[in-house]
Amino acid sequence: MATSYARATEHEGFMRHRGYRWLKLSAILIALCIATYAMADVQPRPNGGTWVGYTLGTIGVLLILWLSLLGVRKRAITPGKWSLKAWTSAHVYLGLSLIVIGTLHTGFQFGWNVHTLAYGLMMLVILSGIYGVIAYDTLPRALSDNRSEMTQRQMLDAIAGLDRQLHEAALPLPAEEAELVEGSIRRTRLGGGLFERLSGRSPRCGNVRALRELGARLDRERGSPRSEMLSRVVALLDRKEQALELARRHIQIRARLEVWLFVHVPATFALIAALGAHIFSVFYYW
Amino acid sequence: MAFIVKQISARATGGTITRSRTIDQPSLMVGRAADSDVVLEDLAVRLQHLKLANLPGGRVRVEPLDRAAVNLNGKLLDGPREVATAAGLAITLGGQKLTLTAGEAHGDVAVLVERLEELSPARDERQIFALGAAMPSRRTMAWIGLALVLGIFLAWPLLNSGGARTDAQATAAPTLSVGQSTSSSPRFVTAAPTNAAFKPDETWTSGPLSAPHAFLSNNCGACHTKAFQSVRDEQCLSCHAGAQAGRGKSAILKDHASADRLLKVHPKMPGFAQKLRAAVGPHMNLPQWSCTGCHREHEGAITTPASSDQFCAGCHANMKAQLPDTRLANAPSWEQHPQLHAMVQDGSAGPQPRFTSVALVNDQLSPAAPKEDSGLKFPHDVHLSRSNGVAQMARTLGAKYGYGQSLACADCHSVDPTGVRFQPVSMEKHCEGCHRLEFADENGVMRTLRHGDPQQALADLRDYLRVRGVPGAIVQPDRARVGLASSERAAVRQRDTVRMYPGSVPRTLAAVFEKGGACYDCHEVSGPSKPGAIDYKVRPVHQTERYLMRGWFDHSDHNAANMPCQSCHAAERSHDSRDLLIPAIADGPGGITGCQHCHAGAHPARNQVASPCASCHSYHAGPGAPAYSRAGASAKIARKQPGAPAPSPQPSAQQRQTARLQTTPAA
Repeated sequence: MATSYARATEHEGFMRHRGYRWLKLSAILIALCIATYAMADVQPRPNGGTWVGYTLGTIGVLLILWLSLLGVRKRAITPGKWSLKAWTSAHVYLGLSLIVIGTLHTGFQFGWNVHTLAYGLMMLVILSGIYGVIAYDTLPRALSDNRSEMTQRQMLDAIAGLDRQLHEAALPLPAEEAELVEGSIRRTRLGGGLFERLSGRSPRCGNVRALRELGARLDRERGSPRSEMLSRVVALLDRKEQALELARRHIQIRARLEVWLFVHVPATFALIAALGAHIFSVFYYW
Repeated sequence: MAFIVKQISARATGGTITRSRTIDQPSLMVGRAADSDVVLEDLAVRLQHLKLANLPGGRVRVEPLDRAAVNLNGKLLDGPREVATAAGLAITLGGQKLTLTAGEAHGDVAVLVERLEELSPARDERQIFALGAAMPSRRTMAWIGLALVLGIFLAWPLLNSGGARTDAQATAAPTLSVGQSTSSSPRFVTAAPTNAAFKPDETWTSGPLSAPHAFLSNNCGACHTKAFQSVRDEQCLSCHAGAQAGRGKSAILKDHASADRLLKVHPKMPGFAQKLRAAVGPHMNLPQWSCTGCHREHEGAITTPASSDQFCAGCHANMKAQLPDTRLANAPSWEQHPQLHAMVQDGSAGPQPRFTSVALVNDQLSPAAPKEDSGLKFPHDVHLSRSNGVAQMARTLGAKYGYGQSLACADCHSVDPTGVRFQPVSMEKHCEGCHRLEFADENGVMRTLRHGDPQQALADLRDYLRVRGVPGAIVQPDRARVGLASSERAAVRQRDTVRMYPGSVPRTLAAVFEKGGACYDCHEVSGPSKPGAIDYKVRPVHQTERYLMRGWFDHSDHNAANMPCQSCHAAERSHDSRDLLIPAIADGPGGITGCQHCHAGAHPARNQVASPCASCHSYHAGPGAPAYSRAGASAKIARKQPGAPAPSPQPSAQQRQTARLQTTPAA
């Protein structure tokens, strides 16, 4: 059909899905909640225990449970009215509306208790989600610009190839220098822990050390019979360093792109647990 | 005596290839250098690393060169070693392994060379590029977070929930002292929590408790006694039911009305929230008209606010229709407030006064106005006159007693320490300056009739007369010094405290009680039971301390607004002590103002005083001031009155004591 063809060819992200339908719906929901909160004369002061509070809380918990189902829903990609894109769009905008609904539900009363814990976890989930939306909007371009058509496999192969050349070039070197090159080959650091990935720097990498020390040796022995052999090794180390930098930048962008989910998803489960404790405790100590 | 060397290397297409050669030499140089007998392309191997020598008898000499690291059968060699090959030898150097065995030909040594490690370490693409490789799995983190939150914030508090008030906490409960000598309004006696230990279910609190209840912060079960049941009145009343403050009993909380009467009237309550609660509450375990309906806790410092006028009017506007048997008149608004009622003595004789509630009349002196018979004869007009003998007497005695040009209200009426009401007038402090009971002067010693005990006075006088004899031998005190004109002296009959009848003790005694005698002037005297007897009875005088029992009236607030007594009390024109000089709701004749003269409901015009229902009434009307008034409402009122000096909102007992002393120096 013509319409489905048009939709398939024209890319429309989940943010502007159907002319910002879910943004508008969320805005209406937020406006309704604010108006109710402002106009209701609750005694002695607004909080979660008034009729406004219970209403906002009910809306909030239903929204949270529905939003958390995206994890289930995304595993089944279907087209049409309730496509995954529509679902994601609603997830983002309704999730944002929870900032207002949840805050009004608190009546701006916060404390060191399970209720504020649930609120804090909700805000953590939402803020990480906002980060995720921004990351998804900006980082794929950076990722693409950085890798310049190279695949991840190609990056690793390039490094492995340089390792082989280094190995060969270093065979005639005396033990101490050979060890430095061996260090470059054996102790190349790629990836590593969360912070190493996010920083994009691996100061303990064997290649950096080999490059620094053999480079210094080359400077000292320039003109000697060994200098040609040494400079070949140093040039290889330098090329490897550039290949490593490219891969590390790639890893860094990917880490930035993926890290929020490691907050968003576990915090969602903690939030659901806290919500359960929150609701249970409120009615247990009615 | 040769070395058979087999070197295994990886093929580019996968798999391995083994090259074999025979080196017919007694010794073998192993190293990275290209001229070695066995070349190991391994950067961890030295250029010349190891020398192997074939020895007779199936033995070899393994010699690391220049202290290079060589491992023989799992042990690092520290020098040359000769070992038998029969059992097989495993030598590792760098990433290479040499296995030495006896060769097939006698004296030969077979050397198998294998690479232990890949040249370049294998790199798993996913391990390197995906962040997931560096993080615990999201699923694991989710389950751990879920379990932690449920464990710490649900299971732990649940297992430690409940608890009840302990005796120690009961003792620590703030006590509310009511009506004590230093204060007529309830005040909290602060008490520190005795048990401040943390309890896990404190994490369930929805906010801090109000200050008086803060000591219960770690004892949820004190009020939340049953799971999934809202706090019931019984829990509140377990402390708040004491008729008298005491151990663990903190306050008098009077029911506004019985629950069934409240229910009969309350459907008039406005507001969506109330309707919703009324509809949903019973099904959600929230009983109506419970304490917690109005007194919300866990709201921090906020205590129950004073009820709004609409709240009061919701029931009181048309109460007669809902509750035909009520004795209360409808009170739809301040403008339509019913006339005030006062509790007055009905004048019946007896040791204790009896009180009845009567409606006030705006004209305090009209014949229709209610009267109160306290048993005292006292014309206010005579005493407050600026020109009569009383005024003259005041001027004469002023230097001694602090009177002015005439008597003033404060000369007899002194405020009580709280400033709210007045202390009873006392004979000794306020009357005796003029109304002396001396009847004889014996060389400067005044013989005086005892006040307050007629039988004792009679006995004293009888004894005196027996000893001294009756007639004019007694020198009368010089009454002239008090400055009465002779005509007035006769009128007030003050000249002789005891009229002497020479020769007749009984007559002299009886004269004290008869018309013209010392008692009769001020008191109602009955008797004698038969002619000639002296069994007179003086009716006790009872002074009413408080007239408006259902509302709160504070004299200090009005005093602070510089209001003279006469603006509300028609004392200057009252000739009868039975006149009830209590101002009514509206103005009376002669410039007497009623409440509505200044007070103008919740939304006053300029120069009027804001006075919502709560300024005089409280929902649980106790003997003290309503919370609204306690909260410094007097200060607010004074600010609305231009020109009025700003009073301190809550004068201390000491300040008020000082004020009293200044206004009544005659004490």
